[in-house]
Amino acid sequence: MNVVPFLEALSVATTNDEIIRARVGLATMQLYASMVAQDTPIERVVTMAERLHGELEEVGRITPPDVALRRVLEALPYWAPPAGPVLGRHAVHLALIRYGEALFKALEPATGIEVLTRTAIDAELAGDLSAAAQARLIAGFALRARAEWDASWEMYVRAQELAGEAGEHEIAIRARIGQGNNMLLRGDLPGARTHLRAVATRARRLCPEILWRVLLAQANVENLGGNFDLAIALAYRALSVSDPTPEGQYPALVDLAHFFTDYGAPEVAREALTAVATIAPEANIRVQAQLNLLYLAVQQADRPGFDAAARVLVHSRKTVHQQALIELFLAQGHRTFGELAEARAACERALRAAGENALHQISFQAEEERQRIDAAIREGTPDRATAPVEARTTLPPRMRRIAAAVVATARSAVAADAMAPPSAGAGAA
Amino acid sequence: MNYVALVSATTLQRVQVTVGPHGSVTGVSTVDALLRAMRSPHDCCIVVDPTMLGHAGADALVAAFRDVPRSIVVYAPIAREALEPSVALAQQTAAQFVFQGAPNERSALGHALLLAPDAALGVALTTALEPMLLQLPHQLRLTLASMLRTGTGPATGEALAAHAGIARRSMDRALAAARLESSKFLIAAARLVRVYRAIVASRLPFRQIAAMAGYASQRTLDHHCTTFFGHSSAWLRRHPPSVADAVRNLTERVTLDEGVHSESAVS
Repeated sequence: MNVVPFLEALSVATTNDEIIRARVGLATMQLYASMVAQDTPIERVVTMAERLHGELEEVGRITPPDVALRRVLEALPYWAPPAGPVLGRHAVHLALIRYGEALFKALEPATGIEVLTRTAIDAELAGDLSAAAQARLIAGFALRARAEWDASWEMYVRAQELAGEAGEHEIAIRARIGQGNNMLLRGDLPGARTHLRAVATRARRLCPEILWRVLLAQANVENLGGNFDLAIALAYRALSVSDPTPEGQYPALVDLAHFFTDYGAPEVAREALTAVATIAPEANIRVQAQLNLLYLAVQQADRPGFDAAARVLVHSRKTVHQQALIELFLAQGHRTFGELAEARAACERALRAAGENALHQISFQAEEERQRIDAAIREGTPDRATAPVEARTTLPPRMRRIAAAVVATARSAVAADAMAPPSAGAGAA
Repeated sequence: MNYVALVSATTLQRVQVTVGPHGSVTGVSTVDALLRAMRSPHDCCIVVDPTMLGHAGADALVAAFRDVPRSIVVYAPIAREALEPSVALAQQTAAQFVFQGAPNERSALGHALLLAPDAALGVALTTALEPMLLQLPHQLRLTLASMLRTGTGPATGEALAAHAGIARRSMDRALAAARLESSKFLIAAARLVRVYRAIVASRLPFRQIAAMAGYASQRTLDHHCTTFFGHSSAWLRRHPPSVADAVRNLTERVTLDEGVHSESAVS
């Protein structure tokens, strides 16, 4: 097992909590590796897992990776109970997957990906193909967020194959959606459109409960291609077929709001985005909502909104894709407000982030933006070419209906959140 | 189908949403009430959170399962207090496990509840095949027995061999030596155990059953029903065979003693 990411985490740890976390994480993975290799008798594993569990209790502020690591330590003793090893191994693999995912979400992507990759390989060797497919699916997502396109693609391909063998249609289809999103983020719109159309057909037939994910991916493709009406229609369909709980509806709501911004209905977008940015339990979705609020503020030349969203985003955890987009929107915003030097600097950062991570679509947009900024600098006047996007005074009846439904969903989510009892886990994801 | 659930209030709500109009969900708050429901003459599916069951409760559930086999769905968090009773249930019942927090949790729970296999059919089938299963290598025997009892497991011959920890060719030889049909036939039979109750005793659309169980289409499901039971799924719903008849049909098709079966029948 490659322990370098753990050692790196240990070497940069400064607080007592960080040191304990990195040390127990490394020890747990080593214990797991020796158990898989059958080097350690199960009795010793139990004792050592207990000791590590006790050490983890000393951490002052509990984070999601700590909770996930505890679950791994609790599952390890059940690795190979007599005459029933399958359940115990499956539980250990699932606990490790959650640990890897939690590490990735807590901005320790290298460590998270290492845990996920190791789990995927071990699960496959142990014949636990379902867990192997799940580990590869999440590793594919983690690698995509780091813009490691080829590695992510390979993870998705293998996840799909393993899921097929294990009879896990949902995982197989989600891996194919991941491939579509991979194409989309690299700017291959026609390829993504064709790919996702085929995935949608399959999802409708085999796994309708995740159809909303395909529809959202398709909507994103259409929005990027300038088909705003179709994008809104697809995203609205995603909202109506998604999990009826508020948590299940946030991703669709964020995307719908983004599309309404492009469509010219900023008030609808603002209400939905503000709701999600405030109450969504998953950090990634909150950041995405805040990112869309920044975009909306740029489009509307709303200075207070622009400053507020930028302030929040500076302190948020972001994926490289989100980081590149933020810089691009900051460049657009500063240009709109006549701050050409800041705009130029932000644009350079966007170009660098997009270039380093092969985010071709953002690269093209940033290149265009730089030309506009340079033109404005040459002319010596702030470029107001991107004057506030005119809000549509009237919406067609169908769009009006969808807009009303979006606002109602956002309001009901806020009302449900206000009535819910405070939860320790809320906002920690 | 009636679902009797010993779970927390939020989990009960999730179970109710998942089952929807395809069954009624009754929540119980004690192990005794759960056991009473299990022993009642009406068939039901048991849904348990092992943290609410405890060690003694798991033992009682195992004992009750021996007397009256029922479908059991264990909806568990990955935590010490849940794993201990879960291991007992995994070893001695035909329980299906759905772990909370897994990426496919929602669909896995849906499939486990709506395609809850007929426990009596699974137990009777493994009992009928026991002489053959006993001739197989230990891990392959456990995997196959669990597959035929619960209807869940690997979907291909390669995956089955990997699960059993032996090479594919060794597995094929072991199956032939035990007078059992090919792994493809056994996997198809296990999948039918999974959908049998949904076909004969529910109103779930056949298309949905086929999709959830991983058949390419409703026609493929019908083809498999015809191969193993001699009739289409619609016919089986109209004229549900007894468990004994279903076991006899399945046993005849997965053993080599009763004539030759075409491999293409389940391809």
